[in-house]
Amino acid sequence: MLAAIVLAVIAIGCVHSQTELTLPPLPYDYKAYEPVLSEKIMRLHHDKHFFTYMNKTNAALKAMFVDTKMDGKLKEIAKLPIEDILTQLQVLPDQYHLALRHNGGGYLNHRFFFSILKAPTATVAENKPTGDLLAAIEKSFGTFEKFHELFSAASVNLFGSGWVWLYVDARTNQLVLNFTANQDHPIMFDKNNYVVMGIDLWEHSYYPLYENRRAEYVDNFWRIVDWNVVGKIFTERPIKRSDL
Amino acid sequence: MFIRICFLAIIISCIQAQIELTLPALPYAYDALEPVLSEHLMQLHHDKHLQTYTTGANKLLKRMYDDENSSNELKGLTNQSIEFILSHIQYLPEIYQVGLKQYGGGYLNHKLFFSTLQKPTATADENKPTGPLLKAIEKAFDSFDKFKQIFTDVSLEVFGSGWVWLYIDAYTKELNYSFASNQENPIMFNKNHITLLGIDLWEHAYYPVYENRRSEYVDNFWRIINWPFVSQLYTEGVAKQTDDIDKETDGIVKHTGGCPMHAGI
Repeated sequence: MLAAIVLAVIAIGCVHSQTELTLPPLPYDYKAYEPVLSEKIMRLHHDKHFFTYMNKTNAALKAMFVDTKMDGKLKEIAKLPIEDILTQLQVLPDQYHLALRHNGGGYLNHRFFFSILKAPTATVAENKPTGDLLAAIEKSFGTFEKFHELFSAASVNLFGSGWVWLYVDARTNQLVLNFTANQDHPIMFDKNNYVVMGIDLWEHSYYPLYENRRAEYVDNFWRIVDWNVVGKIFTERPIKRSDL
Repeated sequence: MFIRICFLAIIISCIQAQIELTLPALPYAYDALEPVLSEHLMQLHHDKHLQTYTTGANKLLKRMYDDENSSNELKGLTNQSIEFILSHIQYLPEIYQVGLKQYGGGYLNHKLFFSTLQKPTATADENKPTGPLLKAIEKAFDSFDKFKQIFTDVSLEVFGSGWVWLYIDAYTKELNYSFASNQENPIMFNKNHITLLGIDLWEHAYYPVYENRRSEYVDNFWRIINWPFVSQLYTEGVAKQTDDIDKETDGIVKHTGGCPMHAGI
């Protein structure tokens, strides 16, 4: 009897709600990233900015779920994981398209970003990827140092708000470097783009500590990249037929 | 003889270097806008951000001038005011357009922005425009309060870095508002738009005081607008739009000092 009730509740839950995003806690304490990212920045960035993106995304998904337009297709899309929804923005009506591009993108980007950061190493030089990821970086960029230089230059030169990404390109299956404006994410451009690392270049990411000195933030960012996590993300990428 | 002098004058003006922008001083002390905008924020915004735009714009203008591929007209253009350059941005080669929109735009926008601010009034409500500007606002938006609501709403909706602008529209000659991303300015879209007032919505414009609370910044912004100065810009703008005839065909040559290419000498 209880089993039946539980099953019924699960069934109802599956059918009757859109995706509702939750706020994952930081993997470490707010203070853990000092002195590269201050506790103050982490509290604002996670508890305010990330939180706001989550709330606004949930509001859009809630509205979309009960929207009967497009023969119930909107309802179906609203039930998908956020990563999938963001690959289908082009089919959405105006009122949801931008809201999800901005806030859903903001949610996904920040969820990703916080997952790849850790306590700083003492120096930049000692924090490096290894194994398959390092090999793939060397294949695409020559050396890790060259990649570091290019990624940093792109980050310093990006104008306005945006991100710089390292991702497996959908078509070439190679690691590439690119930037996106605002809260755009590479999967919005091709669902098979696979992000392994990124840096938030919105001013809110660094202003309380670095003020206008973005270059200093970018230089120190290399001390907090968690290459173990990034390496694992890379290893877990979907294997293409071309890899075999 | 006269023709020779003209010719010489034209040659000399052709060799003239590009304009060199300087950092305009704040029209008030760094702490004058407290508590709406803190002294620290103003120091950063003016001494760091505006300085960076100034330096960046100058670098680009010099590069454009030194570029051996640049025509004489283009070189002549680099000697004009930044307002003129940006209102004719479409004449620039693509490679310079992007950078000048960013850094030249950043320079112009911040120069204007700082000039339209003043010591805060105690409340937002008591700070209002009067005279012809108020009439124009009422004509375009029904009432000042409606204008304020729209401008505020749009300011909260802007996503990423950008501005919301109030300007005199080139065609209708009426007031209009628009939002711009990054450092875009209405004059980049039509040289006869007259930009009157803007709110900087880049995070650097409010973060040191308001952190993520942009709505608090926007609410308080109404206390620091220098309406008498904006009114002056309005009056001057109306006069300019009335006087200006479209000099599209020969305007560029006249403004670039008449280097001989098209002047027929």
